[in-house]
Amino acid sequence: MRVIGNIEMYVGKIEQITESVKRFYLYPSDQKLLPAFTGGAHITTYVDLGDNILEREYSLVSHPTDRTHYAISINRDPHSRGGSAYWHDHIKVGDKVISSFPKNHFTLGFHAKHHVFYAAGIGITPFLTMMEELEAQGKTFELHYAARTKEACAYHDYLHEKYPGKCTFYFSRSDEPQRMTPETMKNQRIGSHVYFCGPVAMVSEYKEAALSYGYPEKSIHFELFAAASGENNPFLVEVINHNKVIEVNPEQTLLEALLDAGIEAPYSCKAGGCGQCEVDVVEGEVDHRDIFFSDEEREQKKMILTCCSRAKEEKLVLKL
Amino acid sequence: MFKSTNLDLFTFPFTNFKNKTYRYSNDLVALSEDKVNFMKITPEYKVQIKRKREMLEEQPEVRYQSFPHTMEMQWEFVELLIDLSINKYPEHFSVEKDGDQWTFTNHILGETETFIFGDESSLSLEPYDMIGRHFHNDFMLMVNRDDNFYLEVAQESFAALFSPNWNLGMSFNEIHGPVPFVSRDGVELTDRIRKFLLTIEPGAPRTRVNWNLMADRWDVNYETMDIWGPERDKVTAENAGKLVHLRVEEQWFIRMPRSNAILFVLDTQFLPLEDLVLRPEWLETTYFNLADIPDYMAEYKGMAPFLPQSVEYLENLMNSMKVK
Ligand code: HEM
Ligand code: FES
Repeated sequence: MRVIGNIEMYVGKIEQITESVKRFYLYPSDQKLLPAFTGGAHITTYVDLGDNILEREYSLVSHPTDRTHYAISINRDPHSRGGSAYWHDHIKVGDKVISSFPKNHFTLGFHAKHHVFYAAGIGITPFLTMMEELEAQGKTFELHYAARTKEACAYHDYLHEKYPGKCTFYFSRSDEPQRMTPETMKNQRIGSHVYFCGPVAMVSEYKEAALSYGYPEKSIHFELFAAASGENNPFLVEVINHNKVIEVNPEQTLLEALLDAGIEAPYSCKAGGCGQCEVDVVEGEVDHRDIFFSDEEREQKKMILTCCSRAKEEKLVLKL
Repeated sequence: MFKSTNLDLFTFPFTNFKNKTYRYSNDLVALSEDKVNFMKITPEYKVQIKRKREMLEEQPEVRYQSFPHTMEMQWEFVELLIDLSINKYPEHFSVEKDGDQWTFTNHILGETETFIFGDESSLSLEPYDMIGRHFHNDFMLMVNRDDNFYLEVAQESFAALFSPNWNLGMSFNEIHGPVPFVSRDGVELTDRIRKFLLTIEPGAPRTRVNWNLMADRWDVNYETMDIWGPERDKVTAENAGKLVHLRVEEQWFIRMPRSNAILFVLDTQFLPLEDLVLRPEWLETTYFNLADIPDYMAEYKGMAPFLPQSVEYLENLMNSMKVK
């Protein structure tokens, strides 16, 4: 059984699901069994583009306990920054792709009495495996799924047949347009958990609505990739007691830049969780990306955790 | 009682505390590929397994607990242990898989386990309990539910202040309730570490080392405190070398992809203080660290009644070595 690192895979099959959605089947190059996963899990994929690596996260849509392969479904986003367009236009059968282990930040609520899913467009993907799990465990659930048309609605026929009576579809561009609304959450019984996946605006609308209807925070779930990652901006740091000005480029963390410059900066976990890499900030605004300090603590004391946080603007002045 | 005899395999706990003494912190670090396999067969293997099994027989309820809904998780654990053991020690362990019919062989003990993978009724013990008895570690499965981890399966023989019976079902925060878990700067750690544990992903396990001192007894849990409590008063600066042991728990944290749980693995090792002469640099570092343990930590760890004597013993030992 694998325990560490990433997994080398190759693309074994590509299926056109709708006009804009393709399903990619990934097989392990070493032919060994893959880790099983839980409903709602995703993988990080890495594609070597020669001069850089295309890194993207996609929900798994293959069966959680099928360990022979993984499948992901990608919508070709017309505004794509390169990820989905590259996968659609360039990836072909036989290509190598590196995959992380399956990770799950969107798990089913253990205490839920009933599960209610709201998907907009390609937001359907994590729900496919969640419903698979619930069905196997004999638990109750329902799906509300919005798409432009029936043809553009990925997995429509599959869902309709597999879970009769449990799925409600809303097609906004049909002859009788229907709109999916948060209002349907009002009719759920106490103990129900709600799940949202779709564009940011949709997720925040549903989240606010659920809170306003009195859903406890623990009963509200939504997909949130990599807690606090933002764009990795370049910036300058001046370290006053070392008389040095160092450039931090987008590929490095502040900690790496300090160490490269020969400054003995402290650290331990390198993942924003231990607080060991804390350094005093003399000047400049910090973009805090750690999970160690609370907002209150950040206000009381000007500091930065160098392993993960960055400058908000062009420059920071530090003292170590 | 067993002690480590091959010091190359002993995990010295203060490696990172040479310049700064020990305090609580989130000291979970990433594991490199060559360190992730926690299987370790030391010269003490047979003694440890014998003792572990005795304890499991003597107090089955205290030593092993599980919730009924954990069977699939238990099989994931069985597969992990078998694969890791064969990977590291193909000369000691082997498995034959004929579909779901598995035969695991422990060549050191000359034992085989035959079962249908995924079918509990093919075993007399629960799967986790069965496979755990082949390895000297303690194993706890902390299942991630919402934003915490709950102890749902545990097999424990050597870890200090731990009892599956007592701790079953508790959350990470509840389990650490008794620990005065604050950093050098006064930061409360329990909840931060809970959050950090949530970021441990499958494929990226972590490790840390916990340590304590033990006076003449190594099996310490709350159920037997009336027995081991008073024994701590026997220690003097003269007999501390033999009676007092450095007790090290090397720990692994592995996120299990299917269970979405963290498997917590412990390797408990003991070294009598007198054996520190074999590694003079360890002796000095241990002395330096023990001399600076704050009272609240000594109280919590249960070493307050014999810590001063132990420090005095180490100081005398260092001085006598310098004289020679
Ligand atoms: C997730 C699985 C874990 C389990 C099941 C666990 C269990 C325990 C237990 C049972 C105790 C004894 C508590 C008592 O006095 O009653 C303990 C103590 C302690 N734990 Fe954990 N723990 C876990 C993870 C961690 C982590 C991740 C850290 C730190 C990063 C940690 C740090 C400590 C410390 C510092 C103590 C006090 C030990 C001493 O000073 O001797 N634990 N733990
Ligand atoms: S090194 Fe742990 S928070 Fe930065």
